[in-house]
Amino acid sequence: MRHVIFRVEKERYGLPLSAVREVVVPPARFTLVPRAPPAITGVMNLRGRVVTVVELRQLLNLPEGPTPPARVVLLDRGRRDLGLLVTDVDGIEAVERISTAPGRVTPAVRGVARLGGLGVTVLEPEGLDAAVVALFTPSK
Amino acid sequence: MTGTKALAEFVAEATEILDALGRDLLALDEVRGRDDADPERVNGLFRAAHSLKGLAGLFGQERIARLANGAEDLLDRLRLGRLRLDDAVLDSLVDALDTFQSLLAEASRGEETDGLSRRAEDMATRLARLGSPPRAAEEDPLERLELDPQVRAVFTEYEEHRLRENVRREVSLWRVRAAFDLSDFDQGLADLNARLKPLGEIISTLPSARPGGVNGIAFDLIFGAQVNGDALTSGLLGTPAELFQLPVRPVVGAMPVATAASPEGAPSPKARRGGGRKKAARAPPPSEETAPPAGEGAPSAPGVPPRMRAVPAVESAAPLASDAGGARPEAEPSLRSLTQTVRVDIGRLDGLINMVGELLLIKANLQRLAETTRQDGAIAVSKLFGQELARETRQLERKLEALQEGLLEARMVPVGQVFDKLARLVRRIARDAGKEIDFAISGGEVELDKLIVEELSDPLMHLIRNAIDHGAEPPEARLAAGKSRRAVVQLHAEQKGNHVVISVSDDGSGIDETGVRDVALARRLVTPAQAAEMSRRELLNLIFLPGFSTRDRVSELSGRGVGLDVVKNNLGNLSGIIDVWSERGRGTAFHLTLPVTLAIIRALVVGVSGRTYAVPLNSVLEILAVRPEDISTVERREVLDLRGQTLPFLRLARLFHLPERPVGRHFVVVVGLAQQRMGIAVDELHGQQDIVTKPLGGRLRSVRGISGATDLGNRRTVLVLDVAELLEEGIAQERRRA
Repeated sequence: MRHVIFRVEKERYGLPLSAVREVVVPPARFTLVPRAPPAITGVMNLRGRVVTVVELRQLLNLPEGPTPPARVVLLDRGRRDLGLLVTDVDGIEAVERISTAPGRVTPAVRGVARLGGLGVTVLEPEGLDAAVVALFTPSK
Repeated sequence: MTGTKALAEFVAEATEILDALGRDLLALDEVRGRDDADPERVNGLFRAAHSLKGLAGLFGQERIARLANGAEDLLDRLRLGRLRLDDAVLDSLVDALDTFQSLLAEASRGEETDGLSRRAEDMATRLARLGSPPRAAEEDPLERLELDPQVRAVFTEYEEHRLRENVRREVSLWRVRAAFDLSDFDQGLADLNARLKPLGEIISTLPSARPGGVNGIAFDLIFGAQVNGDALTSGLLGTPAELFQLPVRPVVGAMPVATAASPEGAPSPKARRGGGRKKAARAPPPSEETAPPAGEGAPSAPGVPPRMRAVPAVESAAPLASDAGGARPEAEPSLRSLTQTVRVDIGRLDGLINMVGELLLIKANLQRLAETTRQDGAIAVSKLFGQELARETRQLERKLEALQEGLLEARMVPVGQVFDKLARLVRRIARDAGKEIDFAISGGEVELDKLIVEELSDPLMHLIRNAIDHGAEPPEARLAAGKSRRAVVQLHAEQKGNHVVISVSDDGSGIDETGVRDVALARRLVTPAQAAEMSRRELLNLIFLPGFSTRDRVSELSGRGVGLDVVKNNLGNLSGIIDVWSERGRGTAFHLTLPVTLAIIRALVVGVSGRTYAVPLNSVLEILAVRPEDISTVERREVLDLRGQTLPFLRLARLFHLPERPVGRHFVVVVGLAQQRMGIAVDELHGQQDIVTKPLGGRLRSVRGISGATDLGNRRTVLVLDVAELLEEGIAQERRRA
């Protein structure tokens, strides 16, 4: 299955191509949403549509890195109003043979695969969505 | 609502119902003769008849109501399987629809002719008699069909069976004569068959007794039409077919259906017995009503350009039309619509509103450009050009405003629409609750955005159920309390500036605030300390808390697990606010304050700590400049003294956790909805702008205080404050700290 491969710092991640609508350059300034969880970077207006942008690094509880995020991966289907802020997008690759990720399992991670000798963490769109929803639940 | 406006509304709504009825009938008609009619379809028809009855009753259209009642009864029996959906029933329903249309046409002109009243009565009787016990020992239906014995003799057994079946079901039978050239008759016949199939059943194909000319061959097709003569005629347009209807004599012994179906003028069966071919002097079967007037009797010879004609079955016949005309004195119902209303999908209007929103942004940019051109000498253009541009831009602005206004108006519907629906339910609710209720509606003509009106029915329903169930006392209790036996529940709408206030009130027992307090304490919604500090009004407001319900006994009416908190939330989604007033023994009133529209609103653009927000202007009362020393602290919360009134003071920066800047003075935007007022402190005022609010995604919906996002034209997204939620928050804080 073809996946969109992107990075958070040096870590590589993949999402099924069918779950991704498009990749855009983030605006110079996001509109910050007051009282939203910190992982919510803000909202942006994409051709008349309001998109909530989430920083993937914070969503997956990854440590902070030096590189500023440079791309927004916009999700498709029922998640059109959700975008993931990532370091960069590498391209589209065929990812086969996804095996269960070692260590702790989160619903956002479907598993790991090998791609060109390097590991890729394959994400689960629904799990990501659930993780975003979960951001709001403890605070409220 | 009175007079022409109410009438127009009735006609519009009734037309819609009749349209739906017609559509469903048509769909049933398509499966005519088969027993696989979609039960949902029948149900839909039943509901349509039911709504029509209610609607007509509401508007005092007695004739329509009575006939609708008949139709409803019939459909009810049909729906419950007590009656088979045969052709007699279907035809009667189609005729009933015709009658409805005529009645509505008269109603729209404010007329009431005796002829039509009689026709409606007859129709109601006919509907009532349908499905009476089946006739005993009926004669062979085929005997009733007037067909040349010679033709009958050549039928196969099966064909005869099908023909009998069709006669029994009172399908209109036709002889379709078609002449083809010998060289390609097989092709032509196949084409004709293909055209006929969707219209009914081809029972038999026989070589015609009449020769088809020198190089031709003619066929007679015996055809059971599922459509009326008109449809058949038009369905065969372009083929060389000619149509002759096969007369079917009504059943001997006057079956109610048959007599009703073929009105006066039918000669006695005896008169037409005898020879194989009969005179055509007979009443037309129902489906023939719409058959085109017959031309001359003789069929055209082959070779004549293909042309459709409906002619009687015999060459020497008198024209059908004279007969039909006698039976139906009314003119054919006009197909022209009775209403000037166009029903538009609200989604399309939303699209247009969005478009206008974008145009407004472009206009704002143009205006800026024009302004720069006029003032800035750096751009080398003639002064004249600058003036011209400015003038045209102003022109554009005016036109855009008109367009916007028109579009918003198109979305407006009277709240009466939802009021009337509620009125129909009140009686039933009251009966179920064992209460005697007078329901009074006023202000139904006040207009609101269609979307808001749609969303209102549930909350209003809930409040009315509450009023009847919890508010109004049983008749005996009322008498004992020295009140009139019947309780009054009122539903009232009123426009107040940019808002519409809808109130649901009753003259019942009122809300017992101590009971409210006890329940809130028992459910741990408040602490005893908080409760002790609360005013009566604050106590009353506890009923809107999630998890609150004043009755232990779950009533079938209100206690459906949906509390007032849901009502409040629903209103919140409409940027509305709910307020309660109650006095023990005197009654309860809920006031709903709603914006007139949500589509395009005028907003005040403000800046806080370098961020920009939009505040809907319809809730802004005034703007003040306040020095820090004017702000006082009462019980650890900041308040502002405004002409002797104490206002809660909310620092937006603090609420939103933004860095606060020390300022020499605050701009305070005083907002208010219903009775509640609050001052919101901001750093800057950027002016006013028309905005189209777009909702934040589902995930951010739980962020309180923000109703959506909008675009201000500089391609930057700006959040729109939800004043209703902010007000509530201000009051909640008040409560928490109290």
